[in-house]
Amino acid sequence: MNARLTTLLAAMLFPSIHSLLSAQDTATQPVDKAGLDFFEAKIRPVLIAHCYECHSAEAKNVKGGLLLDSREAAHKGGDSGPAVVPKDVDESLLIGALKYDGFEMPPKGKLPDAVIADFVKWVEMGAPDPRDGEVTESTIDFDQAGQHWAYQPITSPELPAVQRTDWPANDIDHFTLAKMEELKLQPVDKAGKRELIRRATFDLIGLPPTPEDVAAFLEDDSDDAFAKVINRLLQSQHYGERWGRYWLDVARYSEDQAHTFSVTANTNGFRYRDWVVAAFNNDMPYDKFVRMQIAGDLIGSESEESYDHLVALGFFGLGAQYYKNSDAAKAAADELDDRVDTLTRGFLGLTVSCARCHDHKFDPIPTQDYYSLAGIFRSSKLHNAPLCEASEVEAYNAGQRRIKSTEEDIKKFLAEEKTTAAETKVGETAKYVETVWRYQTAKANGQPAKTAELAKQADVNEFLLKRWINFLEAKNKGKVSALDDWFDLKPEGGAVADVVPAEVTTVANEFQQYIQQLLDVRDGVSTTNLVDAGDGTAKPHRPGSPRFVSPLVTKVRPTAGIDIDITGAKQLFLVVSEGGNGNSCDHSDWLAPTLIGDKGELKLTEVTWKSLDGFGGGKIDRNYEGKPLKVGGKAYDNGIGVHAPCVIAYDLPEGYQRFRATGGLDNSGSDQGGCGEQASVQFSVYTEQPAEGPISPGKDVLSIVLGKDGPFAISDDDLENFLTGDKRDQLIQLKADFEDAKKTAPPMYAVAHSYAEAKAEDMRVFVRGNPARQREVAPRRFLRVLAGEDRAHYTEGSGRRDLADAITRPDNPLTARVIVNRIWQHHFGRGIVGTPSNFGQQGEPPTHPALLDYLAARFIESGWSIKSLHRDIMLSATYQLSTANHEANAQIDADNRFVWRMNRQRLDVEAWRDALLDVSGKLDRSIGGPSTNLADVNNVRRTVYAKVSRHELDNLLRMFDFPDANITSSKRSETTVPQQQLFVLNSPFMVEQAKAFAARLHTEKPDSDEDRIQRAFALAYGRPPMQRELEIGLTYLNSERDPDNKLTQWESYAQALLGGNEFMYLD
Amino acid sequence: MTRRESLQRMGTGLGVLGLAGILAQDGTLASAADATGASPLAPRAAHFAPRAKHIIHLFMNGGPSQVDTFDPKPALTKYNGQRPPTADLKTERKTGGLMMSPFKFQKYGESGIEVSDLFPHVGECIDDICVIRSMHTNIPNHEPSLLMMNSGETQPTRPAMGSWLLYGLGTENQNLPGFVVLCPGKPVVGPQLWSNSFLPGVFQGTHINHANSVDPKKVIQHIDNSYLSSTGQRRQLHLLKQMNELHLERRGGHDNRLEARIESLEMAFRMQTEAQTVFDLAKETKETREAYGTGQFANGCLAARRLVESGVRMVQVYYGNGQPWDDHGNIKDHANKAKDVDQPIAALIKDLKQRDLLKDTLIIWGGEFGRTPVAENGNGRDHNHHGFSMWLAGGGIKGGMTYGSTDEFGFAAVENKVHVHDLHATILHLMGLDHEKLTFRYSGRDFRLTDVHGRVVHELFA
Repeated sequence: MNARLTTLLAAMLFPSIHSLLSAQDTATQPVDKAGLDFFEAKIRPVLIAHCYECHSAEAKNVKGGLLLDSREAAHKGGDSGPAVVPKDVDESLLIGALKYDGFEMPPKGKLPDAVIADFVKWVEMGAPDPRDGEVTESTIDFDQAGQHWAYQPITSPELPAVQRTDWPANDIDHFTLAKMEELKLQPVDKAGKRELIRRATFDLIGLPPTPEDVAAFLEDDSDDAFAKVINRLLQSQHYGERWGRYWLDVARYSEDQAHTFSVTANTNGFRYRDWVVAAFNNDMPYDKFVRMQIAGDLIGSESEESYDHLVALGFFGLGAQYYKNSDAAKAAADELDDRVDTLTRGFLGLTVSCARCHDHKFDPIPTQDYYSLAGIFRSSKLHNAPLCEASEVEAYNAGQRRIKSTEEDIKKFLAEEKTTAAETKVGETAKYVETVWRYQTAKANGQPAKTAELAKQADVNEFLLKRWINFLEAKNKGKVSALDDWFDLKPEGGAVADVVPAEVTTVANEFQQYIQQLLDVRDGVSTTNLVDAGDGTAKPHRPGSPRFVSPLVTKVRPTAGIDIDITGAKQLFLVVSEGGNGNSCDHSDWLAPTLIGDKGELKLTEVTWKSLDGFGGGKIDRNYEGKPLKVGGKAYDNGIGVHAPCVIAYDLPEGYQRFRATGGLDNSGSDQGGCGEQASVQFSVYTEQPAEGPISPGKDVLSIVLGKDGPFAISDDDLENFLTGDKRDQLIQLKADFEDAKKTAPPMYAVAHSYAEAKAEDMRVFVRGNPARQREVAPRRFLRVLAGEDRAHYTEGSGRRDLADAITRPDNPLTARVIVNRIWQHHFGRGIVGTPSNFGQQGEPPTHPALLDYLAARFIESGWSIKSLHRDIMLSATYQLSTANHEANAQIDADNRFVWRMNRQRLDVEAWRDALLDVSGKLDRSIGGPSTNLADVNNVRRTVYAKVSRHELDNLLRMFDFPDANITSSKRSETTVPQQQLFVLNSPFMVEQAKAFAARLHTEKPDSDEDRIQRAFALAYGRPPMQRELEIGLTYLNSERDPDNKLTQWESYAQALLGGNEFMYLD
Repeated sequence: MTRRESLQRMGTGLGVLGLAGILAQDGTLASAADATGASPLAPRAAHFAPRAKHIIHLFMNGGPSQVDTFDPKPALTKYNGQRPPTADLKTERKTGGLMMSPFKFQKYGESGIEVSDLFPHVGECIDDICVIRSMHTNIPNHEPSLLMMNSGETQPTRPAMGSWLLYGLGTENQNLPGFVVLCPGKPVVGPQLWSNSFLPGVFQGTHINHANSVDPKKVIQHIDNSYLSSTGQRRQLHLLKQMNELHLERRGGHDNRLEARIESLEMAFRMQTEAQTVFDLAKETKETREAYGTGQFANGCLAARRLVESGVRMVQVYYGNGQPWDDHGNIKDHANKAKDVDQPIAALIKDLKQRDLLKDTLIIWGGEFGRTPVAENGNGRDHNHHGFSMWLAGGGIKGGMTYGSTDEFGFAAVENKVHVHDLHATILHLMGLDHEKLTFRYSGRDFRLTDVHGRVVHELFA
């Protein structure tokens, strides 16, 4: 009797005890003093000494989700299951771990055997354990955590008082100056006009100002001269290219996936990029911009022709897709994580993904909140949305269906006609064999053996004769045993080729009759099986050789009829072998297998087989996969589904003389893409144990002689010539149909990689992120810290629309602050919050909290207008400060966190490359369209239009700190390494721009080097050269050119101007 | 010390910048680099005294079979063709009965460790080698397992180990990339295997396709100037420097980033010569060339030695394009590949030893997983993540030992199991880094190469 049964019996015999204990963990009782003493003496000290470090509430990092510091926790166990199951040593993972069986605990070394024996004994005793206590779940104090600045409502702060009242140009400056005065910082001087227009132009459109723009601004003495510049730039369609790209970093925009296998490139991804660019150009209110990207499909179209609401969903539609060949559940969970992470960091500046495996360690985000959001995405799906009317989609599909069906018609026709054409020639077999004899004899005698002539004489086809000559060569001996006699014949020396000896004629005739016989059996024309051919034309049946062999059964010809005489047989063996190209996709069915005899008909499926030996087991009335039988697209009720190779053996009941069935290739295999297209099997029936290995391909004589490689095989191309009359016309018509279908099919309609609703359901919390272990339901709803404890459960569809509403509510404290901060960051090089996608505890606090609120509140009031925000920021005195250093300030605030000057910024790779192209005069300023390849040295489109790959990011982009598009990016790192300078010095791209720049200067200023240098500085740096720079330039240009240089002095000078720090760093 | 001087010292390996200095919020090194002025690739002190300074990872992509190389299993012969319950583990595809190895094993060296006749030359070096016979990983598919071996995660969202090493330690030679990946063509997955991911772009591995030859002019992008003579380029650089210095002068004469770029241009100029020299295998003696033999892998091994000799932190040498060791069809095909790698690997070990570099250089040999002891397709073997062998040599590793073991058929690791995370922790430890402390703050949390796993296998250390 085992321990568990004892307990059970005890409970039955002593119900009163049982009921007393039922409120408690029944397995741990009864509490006996001896047991508890044992625990205190032998168990607890070991747990404390060796386990608590990693498995107690006090542990710094709880490992494996396992706590061993309370009875209940130990019984509940960790990620892998219960650690202690009282009285069940085998089920108690703790014991296995101590024995180093599976887990190895403690990791520092196995405990002594005696200690492990104590634990075994303790579990056998029922694991007496006095340690009461709830399982320690970490708890978040929402009241306290909610005090964090980022969760407070956005206020409309009053303008702080400042001492230097003449300094502020607008409200923003009150906030910055007040901070500076508080910290004893002095704002530096205002930037010069040249600096200012260069800064503003790069800032807003990512290109340098033209010399004419600069001149016009210098001449404009009006008070609003700079405001006019800003307005002009905000009107430029290049504005969206610059600012849209910043958003694409956040959206981890890319057009492919990181993996190698089975990746379909998102070639329409550019539509999302273009939508983002246009949204910025149109100053789409930011709340709408957000809503469209989360729930555009649910919000609907703005106008009949517009599909923007579907394109905008590229934010998720272009998200990461991971490799799901193994551990698909984990990969699917990882994809959800991509969505949650990008959503929450992108729009809210919250790192909700940190709560995937456990409650967020720093922010008030419980694991359940993570799965509440993940559930919204699990209720949605990737979707390639047509950007057209449904009728256009249907027209396209119809066109494609017609192409496919007309092509299939041809294939089917060819396959059938080919075999038919070959079969029509069977009656000529003997003639061909004899002609081959004559050919061989002539050759053996050194006479000229001309196939054309022989064919003509014998009235056979020359093409087929050549195939027969090849087929009957000695190398093929043994392939068809019925031809053994042929290979024994030898043309005699000196024989006259015109006379065919009688024995050859006999062999030829016998072979022809044999083939005909096989055909008759196959087609049911003859019911005579091979053993009883009777007329002596077929080989006598040898025990163990087949009664029936089908031709190759393929997708094109998916069935083979079987109807054979089995009189006197005691056993039946149904054999399916693969057709010579491997077992893949060879799902095969014996359809309606029936025994027929005196007693009537008997379904073979009602007879139990004696044995089945196969690749997979046989299934009655089901195919190999256990699904309904389906062959050639047609469903069948009765049959046996197997997978080649397979042999089913039966003992035959008495009284049956015939066996009838249809062998079929099941669609479950043949529909599996390329593998299914290639699938081929062969059915054979034996009445004795197959003598030879039954599973060897190529034994099918009919296939050998009449199949695609046989002597009667006709190539697809030749078939037309073989066909006559109606058949020929039919083929010509089929081909014309196919060509017409291809020509008239409408082109593919435009699609967007979008997002759509899927089955709406809540997820459960995955214990420590493990999809295999699930906890309580996480209702689809918003974050508790933002929406309160009683937040609504989203029940309408996936909940994306509700989610979009929650994020864009004006009282959401994060959304406006986060985007305002991003905009500020791109103007100043640093955000008011230095961690733009993390406003949580671990992020940086704002340097100017009141300013952030002022900007956010004003932003919402302005109708979420980003362009208004640019104006406010750029018209401030703060933005217009120079980049000059100030020693005293630097002592206090070296990092310029309090913006006492403008930060000198390196151009990002897009602005830098675009500026190079612009200055050289080669930039193509056209907007939008499919992505381009940056590795192409002739690519002169703006960099925002370059293909962004997750699999292999372009080298130039990677080298200059473009972010990895596998994950959302909040700001770019800035690194300076020699490889970048190698690009500047040696790359064909740089040299191309240098040459073009030099050529442009010579065209525009043909007169003198000095003129050209003046122009070069105006174009490249927006200013005239200083005297010293002019001298250096002239000296270089006039110095002797090294004869090995392939560049002119002007070209290499131009390259240096483009490669200079002034071109790359913006004041 | 001026900034310029400081930079120069960094470049010569004297500068030491604590790791803390480079740690910055949410993926920016810019502010840290500003403050200290140090290149992010300048050498940095390890957490503790390192046993190894360089790594050469010989990557047998596709997954070599353990029971045909370094984990002899006589039971396979005894039970050939059978499928006992213990050999009934799930892998990627359908497999059949146990299949004995077609290769013979023999004992080598003083240690007497058995190696199959696929690796006679490596066998001669066995007393310098520690074979780990109890490796295991998570998933029997190439992509996730390649990512796991390189980045410690099965999805393409984490930095490669080489990137982590550069982030933690910098590199000794500022004129060469610090993390070089040699592969004729590209392994499956490709660039994500040497990706910096969320670390800054400078920590990305430099992939060199040496399928045709190791052409010094082409191995590193833009390393060669084909437009100006050497003198011509020197003069152009002088011009550029003059202009950059005037630019700097007008901005108060001091700006870390502007100065760093001026210095970086000079470095690039020097890099042209140095990198081309390092990759010029013709500079080796005839004896050395002959010792390594010929072929892509031999060239890769020789280049790897020249690179670590010049101070490159980590070099990976992939066997070949795609996943060549993936012998599903016929395990005997392992022989062709082993023939390509056996002699060069042994030559590499001996060469490093002779130059007294082996003690500082950790050699790692292995694939992304192993293969099944049971047969697939008759004579092939399927992927196997339950158990496989890798070996380490040099760099503080105890030679002539085996560690851990698989079950009697070589299917699953059973004794002293070493997960890939454990291997990573061990490698970082050898390089002087605590795998729990080498962290990068990104997306609001600290990431590690070993995630929340990893056990340093101290038993392997000399």
